[in-house]
Amino acid sequence: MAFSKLAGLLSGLVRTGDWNRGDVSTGRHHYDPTQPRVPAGNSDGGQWTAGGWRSERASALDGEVLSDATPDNEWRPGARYASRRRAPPSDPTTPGQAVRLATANARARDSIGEVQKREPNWQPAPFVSNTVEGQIAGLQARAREAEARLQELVRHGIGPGPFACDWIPAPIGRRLNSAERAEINRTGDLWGCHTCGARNPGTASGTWFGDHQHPTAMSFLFRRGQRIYPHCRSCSGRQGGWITQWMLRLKGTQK
Amino acid sequence: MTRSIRIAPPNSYILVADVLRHDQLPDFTTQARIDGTKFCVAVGCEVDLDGETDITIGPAPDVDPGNRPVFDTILETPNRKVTVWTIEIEKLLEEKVATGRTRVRIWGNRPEFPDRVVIGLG
Repeated sequence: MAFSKLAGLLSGLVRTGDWNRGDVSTGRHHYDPTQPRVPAGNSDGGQWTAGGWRSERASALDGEVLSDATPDNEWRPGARYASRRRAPPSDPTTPGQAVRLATANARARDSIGEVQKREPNWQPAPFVSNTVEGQIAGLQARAREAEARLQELVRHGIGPGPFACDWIPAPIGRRLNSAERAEINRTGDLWGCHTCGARNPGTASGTWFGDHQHPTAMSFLFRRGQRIYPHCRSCSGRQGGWITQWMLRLKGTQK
Repeated sequence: MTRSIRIAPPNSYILVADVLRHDQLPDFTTQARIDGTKFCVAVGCEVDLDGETDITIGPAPDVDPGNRPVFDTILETPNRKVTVWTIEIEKLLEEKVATGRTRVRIWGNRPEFPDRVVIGLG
């Protein structure tokens, strides 16, 4: 069509307002302006349809019950309700991640177990993660926290120390007799302080401190009996301060 | 009034305080084996294997042995009392005082590992 003819047709349309007419020259409609069209999103979207549009699915469901809601409960169809099932990790686990996860889990379990041998009620801070990497990081953090706590306990003489060798069973309901005191002093002279390894007890008399393990203040956490190891002056004092602080954290300020 | 007890305290330490707070504890590792904060004084006693320690608390004029105290401080005593505790938070002795802050003097019969400790109040 020549450009001049097209321009003429357009100008005629604008002038007469007959936008919907199929044939401008005759003024006759080729379609019904009220005829419905299939909505977008359907396979035949945009096409004219003979009657009121209904989806194939809706047609197929003619005569079926569309809702399974029952009138005798408060469940609302389509609503989301809490589930006890935890959402699965959003990212898939690779073989490498599985190895790292198992390693982190073993390290955390072992470290926490070592701490709880000395302080049975100790627990690391909890963590929550829905990703594999998050779980690995959380387990590694728990292991680090447990390892730091273990170092603190060992440094403060909670639990037999790295230099612990000989010991005597702690008597119940009485003080040590002379033979038991002599044995602690012999052990201390032979092996040194069980916590720091010092060979000198640091006392004027040369006597070692008798260190109860587990500490008596923590007895309610243990089922086994106590042992007595030799302790030097510094380690005994450091342990005393730690136990006082631990007891006060447990019981609160004392008045 | 004067009170006394004879004991071999755990870790050979006693604490002198009205209120014990975990963030107001003295240093237990000083060379002198005696140290204090404004709430608490830690006093080293005889080594447990060597024997027990006599601990006495009372008004300073009544218990002053006449020599120079090994420690002299002012303690906060909001509950108007001074208590002697073990490090395991067991009360050994307690004495009432008149004011919210109390001068506390500690005497020992030896510079280190005393087997006789006297606590004078006021």
